[in-house]
Parts: sequence; C-alpha cells; structure tokens
Amino acid sequence: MRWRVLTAVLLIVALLAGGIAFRWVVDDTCRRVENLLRQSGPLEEAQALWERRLPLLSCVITHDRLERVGEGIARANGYLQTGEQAGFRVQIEGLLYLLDDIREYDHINVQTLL
Amino acid sequence: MLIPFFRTLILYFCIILAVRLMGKRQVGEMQPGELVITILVSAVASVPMQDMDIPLAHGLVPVFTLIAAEVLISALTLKWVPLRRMLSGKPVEVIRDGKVDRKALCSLRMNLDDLMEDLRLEGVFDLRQVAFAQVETNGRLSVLLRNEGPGPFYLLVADGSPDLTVLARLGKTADWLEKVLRSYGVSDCKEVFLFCADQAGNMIFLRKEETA
Repeated sequence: MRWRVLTAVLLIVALLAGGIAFRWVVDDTCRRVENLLRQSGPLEEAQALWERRLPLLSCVITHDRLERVGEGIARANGYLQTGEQAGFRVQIEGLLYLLDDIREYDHINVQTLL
Repeated sequence: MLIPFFRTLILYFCIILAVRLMGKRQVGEMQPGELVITILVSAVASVPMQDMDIPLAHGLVPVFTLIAAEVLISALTLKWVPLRRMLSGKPVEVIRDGKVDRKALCSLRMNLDDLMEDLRLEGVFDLRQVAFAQVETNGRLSVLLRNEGPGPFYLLVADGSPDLTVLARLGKTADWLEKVLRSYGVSDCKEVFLFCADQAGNMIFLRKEETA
C-alpha cells in the first residue's frame, strides 16, 4: 500500500511539474514568436524557432492549431517576399491572434476551468 | 496507419500500468468510486486513440490524475472511517428472520423482483430459509441461511472507530461497549482494530498491536 501511495504522490507532483514546465515552454515560445513577427523583418528566425519548439508544443497543444501557425508564418513570409504589404499585415494579425489564443489555452482562470 | 497503432500501444501500456497501480481490488467487485474511475479512464483514453490531432498527453494526464486521486482517496478512507462511509456507503440489512425490510429496500431503490432475483442467484428460493441478508456496498447480496449456524457478527469497532448505528441495531449502548472493551483491558477505542459481536453475545476482538 505504501509504495502505491508514494507512487500516486510522485505522479501528482510530476504531473503538476510537467504542467508548469510545458506552460512555460508554450508561453515563452508564443511570446518570442510574437516579438519576432511584430518586428516586420524576415520571418526565417520566427519560423526556425517555431519548428525547433514544435515537438515540445505537440505534446500539449492540439496539432491543428500548431499547423495553422506554421502555415501562417510560411504564408506571411511569402507575402513579404512578393512585397504584398496588405496581405502580410492581415496574415501577421491572424498569427498574433492565434498565438495569443494558444498562450491563453493552458492559463488557469475561471473561464478555462469552467 | 502506424501512428494510431503506436499511440494505441502507448495508451494500452500506460492504462495497464495505471490499473496495476490501483491494485487487485479493481479487478474484482468494484466500489462506486472504482466503477466511476473505470468508466472515466476508458472514456478519456479512447479520445486521443481515435483523434490524431489530440496530443497523447490529453489522454494520459487525466488517466494518471484519476488513478493517483483514487489511490490517495482509498489510502485516506483506510484511515478515516467517515470518509469511507461517505464514499462507499454502508451495507444495508434487507432481510431478517425471513422478513423483508421494506424501508431498507426503498432506501436502496430496490424492488422485490430485484431482491428475489438476487436471492435466486445465491441459490435461495424460499424466503423463510433466510436468517439474514444484506446488500453490500458493492451492490451484491450476502445471505445467511437459518441452518448455517449462528447469526451474523456485527462490526462494532473498525480500526478504532465505533459504529453507533450498528450498536443501536444490536440493542446496545456506548456504555456497554466501553464496559466490554474494558474487560478486554482496553481503555480507549482507538486501540481496537476490530470488535464484532452477534445477538447471542459471541464476540471477536482484535487489538491493533496484535495485527501485522
């Protein structure tokens, strides 16, 4: 019985610690990608950062949301290279909204709990 | 094709591990809490098994949280009888000396058909044969027949906690219990691991220090 209780306590601690760690990863990635997108410069760095963190993010965020961000960055990069400023701005705004949504996803508050 | 295969395998082994953590009780008759856990675990685990867009963690975290909570709660109920009573309920006596207790049946939301069916499943076809029958906390009916020896023993003290309701059912008082325990050399109920008595006055006594 004692080892079971100990394992259960360790499990809960591990789940909470893992939850906090993953929340930090998601928060940090989204914040850094948002900053890079706001600079309106080349998006290679944002894309590289996103792809580097993608395996970690895939552990906790639904995959279709992550794919939408990756596609959005690639599309925005395309607009930037062809010089279509209007399309680029719309794409960046969409991406910022999506990243904000992902960042809010695991935040504990009354709204997310209910 | 390969991804669902491996995801299912991962979930399968994790659930086996989780059920193993819950212990052997789970495999046999289930208490209400255990039944809830089993239903929830199977429902939660099947979602990431079918939907590849959902991270495995969304299935594994609830499974392990449920199992860990169940283990902790069952450890707590082992030490704290009121919590055990609250979560698992108490056995309810439904037949005494061949007479059905209608109020007890109503409180269980059980009808006579259910009772007779349970009796038949226990191999009893004549109600008059029954000396005592009670519905256990897992929903099963325990039956003692008239020709099976002395009446049932009532659990009066379990793990240091006296059960005053059962005591009253036996027609005894807390003073009587105190006096009897004192005759066993016990001044505090908390020293007792188990104390049972039947209506004929037979008793079973076990001190905490006598148990392994």
